[in-house]
Amino acid sequence: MLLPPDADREDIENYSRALGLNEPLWKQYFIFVQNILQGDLGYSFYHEVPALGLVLERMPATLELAATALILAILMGVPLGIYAGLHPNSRFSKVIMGLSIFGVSIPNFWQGVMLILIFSVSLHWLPSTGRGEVGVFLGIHSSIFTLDGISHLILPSLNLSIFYAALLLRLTRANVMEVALLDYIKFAHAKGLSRSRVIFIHILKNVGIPLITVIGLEFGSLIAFSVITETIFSWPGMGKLIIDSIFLLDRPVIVSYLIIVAVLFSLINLVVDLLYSVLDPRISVGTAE
Amino acid sequence: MNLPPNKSPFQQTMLLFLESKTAIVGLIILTIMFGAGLLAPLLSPQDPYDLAKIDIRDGRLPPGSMKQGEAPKQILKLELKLPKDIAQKPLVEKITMKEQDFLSDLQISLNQIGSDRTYRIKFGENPDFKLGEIAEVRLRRLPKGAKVSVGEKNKFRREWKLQFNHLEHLAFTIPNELKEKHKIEIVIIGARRDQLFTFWLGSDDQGRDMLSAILHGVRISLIVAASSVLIACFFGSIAGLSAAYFGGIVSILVMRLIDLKLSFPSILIAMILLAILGKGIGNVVLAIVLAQWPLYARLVRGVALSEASKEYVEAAKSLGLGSSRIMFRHIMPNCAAPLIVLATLQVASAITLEATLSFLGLGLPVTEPSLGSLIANGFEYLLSGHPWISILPGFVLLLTVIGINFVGDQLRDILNPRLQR
Repeated sequence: MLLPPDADREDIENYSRALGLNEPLWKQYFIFVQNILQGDLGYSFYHEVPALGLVLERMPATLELAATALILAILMGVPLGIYAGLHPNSRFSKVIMGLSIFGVSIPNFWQGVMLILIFSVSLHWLPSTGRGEVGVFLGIHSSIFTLDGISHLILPSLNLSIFYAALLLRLTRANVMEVALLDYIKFAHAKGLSRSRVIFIHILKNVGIPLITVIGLEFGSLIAFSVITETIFSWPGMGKLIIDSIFLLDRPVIVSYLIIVAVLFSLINLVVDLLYSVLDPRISVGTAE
Repeated sequence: MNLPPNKSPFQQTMLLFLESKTAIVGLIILTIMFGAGLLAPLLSPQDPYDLAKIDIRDGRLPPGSMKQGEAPKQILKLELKLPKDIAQKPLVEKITMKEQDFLSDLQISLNQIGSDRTYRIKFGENPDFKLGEIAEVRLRRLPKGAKVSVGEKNKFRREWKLQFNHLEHLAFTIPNELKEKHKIEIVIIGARRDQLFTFWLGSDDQGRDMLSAILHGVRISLIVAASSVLIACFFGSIAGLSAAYFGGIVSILVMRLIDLKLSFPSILIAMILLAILGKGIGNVVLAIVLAQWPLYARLVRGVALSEASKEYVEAAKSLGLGSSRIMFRHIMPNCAAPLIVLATLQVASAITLEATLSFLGLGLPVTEPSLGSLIANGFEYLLSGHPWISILPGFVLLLTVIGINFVGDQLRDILNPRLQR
């Protein structure tokens, strides 16, 4: 795979010595762990640059995509969910719920294919591949800062966000329906508070807690699911890199990707837990009294 | 709602289930899909796995095109009996096709022109024969040094090929120093091919009938999903049940494994696993099972924990029944309802997961396409004006998943004891 098929015995020996493949397995693993602890994840077999650097280099594109998708999902899912929760029997809510089943069911990759077909192939509105022009603002490189970049970002982030929008919508609706029937909401209404104040202060605060958890945890799976979206839209992020590396059997890159994703997940979980205690004073971190 | 009291629990459940219109729609979709999957070998006009039956020349035909059979072919052997003195006795031959030949009303004649050995072949002397019936004619085994007026000579053999519109001018000249007898062959290839079947949904790049491929794809997707859900459900339940029943170290072990798995999205786990193990239907099932079993384990453990503290379990214990008997015969039936709901919904996610993996090129091989690999195949041709290769299998996939979700949602509503009306 890494050497040409007509490589002779000497070449193979030299190469496997260079990669350390002649050592016994336990020793290879020991060296591997030792190197990881020193922040060295090896060189990519294919690109021949440090694997960790390769993954980190692609990370901003993925984070940008995931963050945009998350914001889109919140903007689409939460308001519609609140509406559907407050008016569970209206016709519009039923349409929303029907669409949300659609959104949850539709296979992500096929949805991407259809988005390309509609907006790129038929209507020629938006480009379907690549990241476009990358702008720099406050030292951050991102597609958001150029018009071309935004037009490249719309389709992939929309594709990534639809499933989560539907998920958030259903969750918000269920929670709003539950909370809206509680006594303290009735009391707030009886006190003569304005409708918008009841919705946005009283209801939303209580709905917010489970919502934040899900949003936080889903950010992790957004990063994981971006593999599919990045493959379809040729978005130069980590996900595209891992798929390419899997086909090239580029193990150091795969391992680096997994480690980085695991670290990201742990960080996200930590942030969610901390946010939790800020939002809900009943839960406090580390101060068991 | 008031249920008729004289119905069995199963009938009552069915009545409750049929209350929702979306659930009925889902059930109908699912019945069609399962029927299609089950009967795929009978229903499909072509066997999409038999590479011998697939012709790449049929590739990327739009929906509604016809599959055409091999063109009919007829080889006529003609013996030229050459007279010594050609000026005296010009050679004239007439061939009439036999009854069983595919162009039975065709007449071919061979006429000598002028005084040298040039012969004109005429097709279809009789007025009711149309030359359009012939697609191509080949002349073979002409003697050495022969010349043909029109047509294209084969580079390697003494064979000439000509299209039907040149037939009227077909003539050949043979050298003078020829023996008295010579056999030539005229190959006639007919224009009218057999219409074997219609590509109702078009064909893919390999010339595979999309309808057959989709039917078989549904079959494979359902087989993979159903078997992985069953296996995951089986092992997950056992793990969850033992964690709940034995507690202690078993519980800790199982729960840590579950946490480990649930903190990582299933798509990543399945992807990495397939990257290591390689493609194939067994590996895909294994990947889905590994991705899904913790869900069952967690659910069963939760339900079993609340069941285990109930009196009937205590009674069974005091009767001296063995732990496996209590676990499987007493506690397990009480976990059935939520387990059925979860398993139903997980079939949908197993189908999606398998399709996603196949789409990424990690799932099933192209020779046995599932719905996901069909969509992936079509994706390459999306931009070149052949969108149906990708759209149609995706649509079927979407319908299947929606059907399962409809049914699963309704099952959850009626089997959930908290919502019991």
